[in-house]
Amino acid sequence: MTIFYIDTTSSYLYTGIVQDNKLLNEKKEKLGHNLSIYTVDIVSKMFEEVNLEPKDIDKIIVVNGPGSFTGIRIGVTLAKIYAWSFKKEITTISSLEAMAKSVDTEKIIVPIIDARRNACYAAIYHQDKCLLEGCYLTLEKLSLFLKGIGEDYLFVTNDKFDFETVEYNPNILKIVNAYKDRESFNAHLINPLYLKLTEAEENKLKEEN
Amino acid sequence: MIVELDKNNKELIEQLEHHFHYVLMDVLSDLESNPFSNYLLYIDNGDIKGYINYYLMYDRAEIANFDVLIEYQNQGIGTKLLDNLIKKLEGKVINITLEVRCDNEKAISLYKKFNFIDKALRKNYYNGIDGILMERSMDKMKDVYVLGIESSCDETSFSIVKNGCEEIATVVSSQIDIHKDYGGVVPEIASRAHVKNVTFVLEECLTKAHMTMDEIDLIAVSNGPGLIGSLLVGLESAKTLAWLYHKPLIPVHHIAGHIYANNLVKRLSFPLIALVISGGHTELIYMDKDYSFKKLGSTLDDAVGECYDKVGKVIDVDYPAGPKIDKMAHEGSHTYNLPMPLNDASYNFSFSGLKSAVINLVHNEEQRGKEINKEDLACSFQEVVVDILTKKTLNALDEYHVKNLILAGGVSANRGIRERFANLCENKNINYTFPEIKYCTDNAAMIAAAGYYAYLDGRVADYTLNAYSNMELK
Repeated sequence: MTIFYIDTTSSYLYTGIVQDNKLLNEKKEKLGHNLSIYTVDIVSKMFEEVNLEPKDIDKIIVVNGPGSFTGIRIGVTLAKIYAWSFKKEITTISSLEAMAKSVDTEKIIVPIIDARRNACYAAIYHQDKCLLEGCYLTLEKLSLFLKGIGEDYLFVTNDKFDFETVEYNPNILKIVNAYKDRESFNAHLINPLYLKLTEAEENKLKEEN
Repeated sequence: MIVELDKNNKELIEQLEHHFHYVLMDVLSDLESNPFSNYLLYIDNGDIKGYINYYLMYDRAEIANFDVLIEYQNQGIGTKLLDNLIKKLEGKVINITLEVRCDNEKAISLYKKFNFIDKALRKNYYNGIDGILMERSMDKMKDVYVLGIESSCDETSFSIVKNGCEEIATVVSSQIDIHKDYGGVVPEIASRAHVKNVTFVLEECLTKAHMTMDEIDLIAVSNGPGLIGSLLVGLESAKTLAWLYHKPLIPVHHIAGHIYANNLVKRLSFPLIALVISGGHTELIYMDKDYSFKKLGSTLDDAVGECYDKVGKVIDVDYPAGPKIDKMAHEGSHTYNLPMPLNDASYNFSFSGLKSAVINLVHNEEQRGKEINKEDLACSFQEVVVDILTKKTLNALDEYHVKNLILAGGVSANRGIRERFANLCENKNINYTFPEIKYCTDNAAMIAAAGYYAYLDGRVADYTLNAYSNMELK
């Protein structure tokens, strides 16, 4: 079984090919605003380097958010077109799930992404249990949640916060192994997980209420 | 390795000039002065061992010079070069011709191997020695199917067009109903809808065309100008498809697309003047041949379509206001006095002053307790818009001695504008084309049509192609 993994939800491109429990190749590049320029180029080279054709894979795992709206769309569009083109199995995982899977700890894991204006996207995991599903919330609210749990926790992130965090460096093999059996969807139905309405929609809702 | 000589590669040019005594001309000045001239080089370890200098003139090619260094002859280099050239020109030209000395048996036998045949004898062509004119006819020009992708604003569209002029299938998914609630296009909402739609629209387009991706020859994508988030969804789709199916990727300027919507009606005739009018653009463009654009002028502020929308707001007409104002204008008469905006000798436009004039007029009338006749105001407004558009366009046709005019862009669907241009052109014996109404607004058929000519112009991109919210038409 050969699996193609792609995550463009942050300012990094994280992509890899896992074959029978082995990481064949991976690319981790900080691209920032250049994600739209280099993603396809780097992915194509990653395949070439291991002499694989895009047709040769069996399944696609795409990280569909939350994170940068534009970034999310780059990976999701690529994965969706890919799965549709060659009728490949495809499934999504959230960026927060991927982040939680990449650290080894007994502590409570809090993957967290800066959403600006004192808000964040976060989830709470302990061992393999999910204590809080990924959501958009204020930092204040998150700390209230954590106080309620009241144990030792570890924040995983790519962003800067004014509390102690560990840097996110995805373990692609581990993530893929954890989610490779997740149910596949029809490629048409693969969509980003923004966890947040657009501002225009929020304002309209406010007006309506 | 066989490569085309790039005129910026000084080192290779120098090598070519020094090592091959048949290169009589200065290669650089040849490349710069003769747009038809190309050099195909056989390079090994950085050294040029052989080359073909050929002229590519529209649908015909001619081999002007062909040489392999004496010490590398009989190693199959000539065969490889010729084979490469023929493959490169397959489907692009009707024939390849050349002249060869009648005593150059080695060359003649090579040409014959590649199905060149004797066409004529030129007596004493080479200082007393006869020259043979040989020709290789190429297979019928292969049909080229271009998949076009357009997502620069609020329509997700895919289309397949044959040979730049024959539409096979087009699907446009418009988001107008979503954005109506917000009084205009909301960029983030548009981008989200594009991702949702993209594979549905692509699949429907191929189904409609009864084709598969393998039968597509080129992938053309509108990569700007437009809303960046929206553009990126189309761009990423195009790059992914180009990678998956090993197809050439062709970037198309959105305005070039609008211009080539006319090519789906009638083959463009050159030179021409294009008036591009839409919600985002108001431009006069001169073209002397395919895919060559010279901007004569453009709007300094609002685009003409934007002006219609803003005027629409003043007289309570819903977005998009253009078609409704056009209809109202036909029901009213020109009674209100509005100023001709930027009525000068330039080819630039300005519509923000006209918009302000409309707003002031409405306020003044309201203050005087008078009711505005909206149909009359729509008519007066549209008359002024048409006056300035026709005036500057006719000036451009005159100054550049051009007999062909095309309209392009969403506002070219406007009945009032079409009627006036048609009348004026008929009086002045100017050939004119308007796009089909369905191709005035954004669609991928126009991108596919333009993509074919962009490809013939050599505009192939690699996977690092990007999209731009602002982009010059070049």
